[in-house]
Amino acid sequence: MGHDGGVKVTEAQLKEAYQAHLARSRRDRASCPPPEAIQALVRREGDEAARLATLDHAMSCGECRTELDLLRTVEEAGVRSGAVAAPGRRRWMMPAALAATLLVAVALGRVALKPSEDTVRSDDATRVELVAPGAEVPAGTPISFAWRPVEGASRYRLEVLNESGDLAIEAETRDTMLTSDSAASLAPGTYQWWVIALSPAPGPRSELRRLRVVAQ
Amino acid sequence: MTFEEAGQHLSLALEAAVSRYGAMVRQVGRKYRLDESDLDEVMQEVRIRLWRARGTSEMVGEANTSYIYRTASTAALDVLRRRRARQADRHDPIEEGPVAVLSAPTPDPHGVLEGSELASKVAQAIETIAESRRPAVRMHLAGYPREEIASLMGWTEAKTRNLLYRGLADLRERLAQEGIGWDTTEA
Repeated sequence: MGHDGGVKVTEAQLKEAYQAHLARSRRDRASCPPPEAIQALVRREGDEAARLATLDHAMSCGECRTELDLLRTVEEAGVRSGAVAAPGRRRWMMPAALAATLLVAVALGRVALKPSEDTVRSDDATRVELVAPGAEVPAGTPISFAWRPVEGASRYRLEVLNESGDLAIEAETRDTMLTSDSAASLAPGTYQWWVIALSPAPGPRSELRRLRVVAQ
Repeated sequence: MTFEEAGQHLSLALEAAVSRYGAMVRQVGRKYRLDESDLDEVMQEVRIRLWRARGTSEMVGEANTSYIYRTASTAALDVLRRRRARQADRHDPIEEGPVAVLSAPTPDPHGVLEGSELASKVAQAIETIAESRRPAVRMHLAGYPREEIASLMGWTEAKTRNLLYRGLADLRERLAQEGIGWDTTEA
């Protein structure tokens, strides 16, 4: 390393020095990123350059670092409690009540709820992500539709389209699950469905997903 | 069930949901060594918001964790905004004085000076690291494990390791130029 005769420190001492510096540093808070930017960092929203800049500041400002940890705590508690999916994770995180409802439905053999391979798994945090049903459902039974929550949405509109593109089912709910009894009257065939988030104006929507209603 | 009984049941259900979520917040908060008072302030704000929203159509059937979480997210932001506003009102002077670190329990003047200089040089050296690597180095020195760096930024373990390795190499080189040798045994 070419170090001659100077101070020699360990990594532990470097960390101690940096942390002491961090704890003592005081900044003009006007130069700090707004709380919303720190929350966007926690949720991995926005472009990486902006999040890097926010993180760089938060890790050099004791007060922003505490704010970051506070917002991380609220977010992580939401993930652990099943209220929200982990940021950027491509896995299913359904509210416990919804999961329980779906499990009951499966147990009753009324709907096929296993997510299919073509289930939308978008990285776009603002898009509605569909959860259930799978690609096929039996005819003559109600269908349970489920999707992941979208921040800011007050309601959701479910639309099921027939092969001609006409609206076969339309329904609105505040929940992220809807069991459609009228779906029991759908004739066997191929349909498509999607979910639009309303806030109350139409906002993000899911991709259009194929659904086959199969005669039993 | 009467209307009043229904209202009472909703309150109890909400309170139970808030308590469950609050327990989760405190559990996670301990991991980040947050003050209990900070967490209590957020959860108190959550209760106030739910109390104000009671009886509205928004509340019907919303005694679930998802609703509590959304309320807590916005409550936390408001808590931070209010705190910053209070700080601005106090007009605290900005402290940029020397920092005493690496000192013994009863530090001698030489030790304090050395620690102060080291902290200052480390802070200056970090500023010279490439922007893409600097946050990872800061988090590492602040005591966050590599997994948390990766999780926060959504990086793979390999990318995180690479950025951290290169960033620490930059820091080591810069500190060497300042006459500070660094015994590295990790990262």
